[in-house]
Amino acid sequence: MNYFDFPVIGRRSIDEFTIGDDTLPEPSVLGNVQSTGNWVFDRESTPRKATEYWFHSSSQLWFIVERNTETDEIFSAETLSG
Amino acid sequence: MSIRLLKHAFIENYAEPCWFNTPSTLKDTYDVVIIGAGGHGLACAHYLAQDHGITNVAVLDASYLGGGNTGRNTTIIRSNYLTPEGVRFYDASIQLFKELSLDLETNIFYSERGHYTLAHSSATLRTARWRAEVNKHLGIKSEVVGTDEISRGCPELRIDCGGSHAIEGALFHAPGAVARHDAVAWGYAKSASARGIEIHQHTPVIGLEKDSEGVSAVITNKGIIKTRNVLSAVAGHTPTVTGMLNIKSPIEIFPLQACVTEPIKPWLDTIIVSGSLHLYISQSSRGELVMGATLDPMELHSRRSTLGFVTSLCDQILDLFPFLSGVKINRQWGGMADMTPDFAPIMGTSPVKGFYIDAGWGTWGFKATPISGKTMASTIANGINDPLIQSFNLSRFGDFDLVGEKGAAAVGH
Amino acid sequence: MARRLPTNPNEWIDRKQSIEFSFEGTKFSGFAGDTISSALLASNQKLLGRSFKYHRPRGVLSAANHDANVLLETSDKVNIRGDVEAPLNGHEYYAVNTIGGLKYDAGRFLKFLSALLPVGFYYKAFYRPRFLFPIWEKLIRRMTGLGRVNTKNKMWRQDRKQHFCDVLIVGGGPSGLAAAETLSRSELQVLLVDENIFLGGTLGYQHPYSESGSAFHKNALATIQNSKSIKCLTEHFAAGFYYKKTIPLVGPDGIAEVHAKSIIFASGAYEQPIVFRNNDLPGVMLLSAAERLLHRYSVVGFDVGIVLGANSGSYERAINLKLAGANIVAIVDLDIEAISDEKEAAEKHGIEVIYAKKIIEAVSEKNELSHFKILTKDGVARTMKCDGLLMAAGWAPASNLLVQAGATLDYSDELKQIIPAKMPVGLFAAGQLNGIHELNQKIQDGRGAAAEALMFLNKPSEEISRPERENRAYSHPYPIQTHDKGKEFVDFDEDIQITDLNVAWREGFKSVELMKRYTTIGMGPSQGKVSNMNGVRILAELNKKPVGVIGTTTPRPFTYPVAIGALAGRRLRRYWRSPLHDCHIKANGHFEEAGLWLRSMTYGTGDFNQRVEREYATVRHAVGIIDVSTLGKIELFGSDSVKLLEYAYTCSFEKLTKGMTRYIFMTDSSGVLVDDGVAAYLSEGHFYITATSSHAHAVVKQLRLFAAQLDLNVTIIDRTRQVGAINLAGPLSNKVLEKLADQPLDSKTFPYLGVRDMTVNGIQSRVMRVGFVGELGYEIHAPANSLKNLWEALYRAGKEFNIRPFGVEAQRLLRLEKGHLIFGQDTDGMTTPYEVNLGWGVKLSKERFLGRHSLKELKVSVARKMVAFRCQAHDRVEIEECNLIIHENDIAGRITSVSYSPYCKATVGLAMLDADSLPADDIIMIKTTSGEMIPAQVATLPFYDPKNLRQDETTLESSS
Repeated sequence: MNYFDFPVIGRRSIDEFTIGDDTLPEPSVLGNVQSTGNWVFDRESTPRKATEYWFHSSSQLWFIVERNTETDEIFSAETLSG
Repeated sequence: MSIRLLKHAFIENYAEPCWFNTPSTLKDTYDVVIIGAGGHGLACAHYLAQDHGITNVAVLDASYLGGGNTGRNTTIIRSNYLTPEGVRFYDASIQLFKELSLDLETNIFYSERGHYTLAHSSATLRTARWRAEVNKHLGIKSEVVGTDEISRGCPELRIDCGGSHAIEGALFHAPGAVARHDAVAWGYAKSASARGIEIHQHTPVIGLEKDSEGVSAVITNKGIIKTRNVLSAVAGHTPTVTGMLNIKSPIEIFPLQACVTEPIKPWLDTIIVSGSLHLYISQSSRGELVMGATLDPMELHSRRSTLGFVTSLCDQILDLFPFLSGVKINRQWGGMADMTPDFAPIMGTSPVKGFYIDAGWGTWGFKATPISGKTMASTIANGINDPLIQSFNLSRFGDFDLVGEKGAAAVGH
Repeated sequence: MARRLPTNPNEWIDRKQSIEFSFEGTKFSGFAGDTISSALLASNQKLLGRSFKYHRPRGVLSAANHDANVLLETSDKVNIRGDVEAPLNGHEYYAVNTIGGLKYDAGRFLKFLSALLPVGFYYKAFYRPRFLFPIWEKLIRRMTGLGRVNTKNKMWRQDRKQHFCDVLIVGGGPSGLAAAETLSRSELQVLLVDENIFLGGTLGYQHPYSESGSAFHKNALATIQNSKSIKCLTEHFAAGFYYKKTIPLVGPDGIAEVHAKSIIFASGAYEQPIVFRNNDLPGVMLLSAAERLLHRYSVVGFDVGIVLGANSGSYERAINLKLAGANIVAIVDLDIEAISDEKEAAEKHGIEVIYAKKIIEAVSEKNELSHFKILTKDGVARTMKCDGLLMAAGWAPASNLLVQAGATLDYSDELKQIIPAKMPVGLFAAGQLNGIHELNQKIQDGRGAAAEALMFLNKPSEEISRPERENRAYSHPYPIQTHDKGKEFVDFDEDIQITDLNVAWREGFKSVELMKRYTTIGMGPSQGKVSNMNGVRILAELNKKPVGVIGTTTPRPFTYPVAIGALAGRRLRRYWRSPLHDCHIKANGHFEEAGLWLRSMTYGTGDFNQRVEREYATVRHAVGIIDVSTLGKIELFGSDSVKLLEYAYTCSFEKLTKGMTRYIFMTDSSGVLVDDGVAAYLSEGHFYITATSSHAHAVVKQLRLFAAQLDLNVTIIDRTRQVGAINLAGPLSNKVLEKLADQPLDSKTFPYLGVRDMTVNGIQSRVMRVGFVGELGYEIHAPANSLKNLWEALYRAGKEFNIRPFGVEAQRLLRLEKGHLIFGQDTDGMTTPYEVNLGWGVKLSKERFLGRHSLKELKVSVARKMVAFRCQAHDRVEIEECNLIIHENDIAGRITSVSYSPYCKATVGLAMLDADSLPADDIIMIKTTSGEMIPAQVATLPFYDPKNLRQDETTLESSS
């Protein structure tokens, strides 16, 4: 079981979270992109330190989580203010 | 009785010739370099030689052949897709599979079992009908069946599903089959090897180079290869390889896990899939129940197993087969799956000339092994996408022209 | 012949309690504390199973579940491990996988075919001609598998528990006990786990006469018993290593999942067989098996025993066994350079020492070992009569969990054994697992590991150094002896002989992983515990490389197989019920599950169509009432509420005025429709929105994300399960509501699409005038705990107007006539607003909203188009949802909704068509499930009340 000490909600299994699909808010103007389709669909998915949005449904809180996508190690978690 | 077995019996110390070569050094140049000695890469090598006479080919693998998703999947073969392009592609695969044992002179244990995709709600039943109608129109044997027919096909299955979300019907796909995954990879390796294609195991690719004319070299731990044609057939690692040429793709890597029980006497002759319970199960010719579930929910580049996977799978399987409580899980394992936004593969040409992609297989693409090899071989030989894979090109995402499989986003393996 | 020795004080059996059971139809008895294997051996039953492939006779090998020779079944249990499971009174056991019983197993004739069944034989045969394969396959499937599972068995589930501890010690042998004893002086919470019923491990059977060992054992047990911080879990095995040092401990009552800060592995080693001809006969067993049987169960499984030793330590062990009462007549020493004082000691105890150059074979009589043939050092062939041959050739560490944890292994050339090389932080190996064999050193190693664990956890610790590994081999470098006629078994589970590995190697399967897959070595029920090491040695020899270079296969969970019922855990099934659930039951509702909810599809008697049409007519002509509590209900407060809505939904909220509602929908970033609902503008900075039942939570989740990402001042409250909702619909609905509402309902003060807070029957309610079903209607939202009261009040008030409840089915028909979409049915995973005529609800000129960039692209290339259709026939046509539209023999689309419309007096529906297949003549061809082609006319929407006259009570009154 992979768990981490989260702010506000304490130690939790990562199984309690779901991950957000669209991680960044859609900007009003697309910057330098090949096409809208590429902007929508292309992903970075190599082993890396990723910043992800995680939702914890029983507390209804969103967190920004930094995670190693090769080892599943979590480096940090912060509540998303709002 | 096979002459081949008699030879084993009566010739002392008899062994057949090596199934595949194990060359120790790389040549400086090849006409085609295939990255990934899994089923797909080896099938492509075989068809390059057989259909196109191209044999100056090296197949490279970071580890041993067939050790990636080829050796980790649960070997289900079916063609009950939702879109005409999907159905045609996978049906062509089934046709090749059926002849494969003879073609490769290797028994791949291709075994038609019948494939039930269970529907636990009227909404899933509706989607099942959609698939069935598309399949029937395209000449594929699929139909929606009621619970009585399911019980006839698999009397052990508990229709009331333990008291909640009872089974209402199923999509029955008679040609649904299983095959011995390793044998498919080895058979293709044997055939490609016999035609002079080199298979280099334990030869990881660490870089790719391109020049004004397209892809130009493959850098490995054993040296640099000059070539103008490179196929990436490394499902599970595709973004790493495409990243070497700065090619972006929508592929995301998610873990997919499976497990087997101890061998028990066969009682399950069909393949059972339940999307809402997230599981599929069949029984192998060794007597093991082979079981799997959906993808793990988060991106991960690791083949680790989780306890959560096997506990939730066991929790669910008892809804369908309550008598399995005392049957024991022997082994679990994991692999990495290339996921695409429209649940269809990414195949063919890429923005870099001479660099071809065979990826995005989702739940591992075992069922597409022969046809992906054949169509990728024709694509590489001709430099243009084979008609059968035209709709699967990487460019579709930029063009907003996705494949319609996502329409019925139900689980199936 | 009874093979039970007189009572010994340390035995595990209770001779006062006898257990009666049967095996293969013959009655046996044993004692409480026996395993099935020990009880059978005690009664001289040596033949205990048949092998998987050739049905060779098999007996006890490890007596510790390291092999799978003794697999049994009863009428309701399958693959029972005889080595570790206790016989139960009255149970009838049978060996698995026999044809006609263990003794006369017809499958044994397969041995005559064995030459025809070389490794990988099934890849090489049975495929030509193709049509015969199914027949071969049937035969193979009949022969395959081990035990039979009884498909009538009842389901059982065991609880799964969670434990947290500072240090987990895996294995309660000398090293594990020493570690626990050391840790007892700290405050740390320690969990000591052992697979056996008693702690002690090898102390009890390999070092039974060591005085220091016994003293240590006694002390350690007392210390552990007196310690408050050490908890012991016996009869549990560590099944696998998972992320964050999580280890499932599997025991008789289920699984305890342990999360440890640090782990000391003292799991010992598996003794390895010697590979020679007929090494699988009943009577040939590991020396440790004989030791376990004798010291734990007081059973000696033979009259004349020979120790086949090939390593340091086997002399002492042979002598000990003899002292304990086993008739050991000889030690056959394969290691020609044995130390001379060992020889003398053995001879002093009447054990002949024979140096062997080569093992020739074991010979059987009636399925059991009878003789042993060797070539002595001097080259003389010698045949010895014996019925017990005890192998002591070396060890393979029980390192599966270590490797799963990320440790690397090395091959020690001194020890001729695999040892841990690099350990991950916080994990420590000790004892035999760590290549330490001598008793005092094992104890010292355990203490050292404990000290390291203390240091790792930043606790004070005295410095305890680890012992140096001895520079003598406890394992033979190559305990493998070929024979011209074969049958030297490397893997007992899978009947794999040396020749099989040779053939595989010559056929190109030269790496350890390919070898495993081709030969299936290590893939059987014992997962290679007693076969992988010899397999690797053979492979190293074939490749002419050191053993260390060959490596090992990746060990996967589980250590021993784990029952599905144990893994499954207790079932927690969540479900939700509407606050009106009892009302629906009372009204004879026909339910269907919808996610976690249970929804009433129709009510009352009659067949399905009668029920739907009755409810339909009620709504169209009088007044109906439906429970819509499953709708998502979300309240927004704050100055940025509009900003949030503008970003999340595609439409513009500029024109929405207070007291009014509007239809809203959202897409994802790719422009695909996700959800729809209604937004009600209540007051400045205060909105109330609905979402579809199945997406309620997803919508709340998304809104929370957007609010946080855009840093908006808005509070989002999910009211879905706090607030229930009832839709009152039909031309007489206002008459019913008037009787209970505290506010006027006329369209001037409360227009169509308006929203008002009012009391209904005294209950604070929020009422919206909606028209989903195409009639005058009110959606009344009220606190869940008052909803039943409200429903009953409306029902009473509506009695004079013939009010009836209507279900989801009638609602679907009503809305279809009105041309309203059901998300998830009329839309699919790729539908965009432009495809379903919702372009009017997309305000591309808004500066920013989710999906905007994609929708801009999609607007100009609409791939599909939703059309309405009407069949010509006036009676019901058998068209089903998801039937196809065929255009020039190609698939042009599918039916998404279809129903017989009482209003149109025809079958009508919605279809999604490829944009380039829209027929010029407005006739589409529908292919029914049976294959019939039915033409239908493309129609305009809505079928019913295009001018929305039904929403105005004044026009209603004038028309009636």
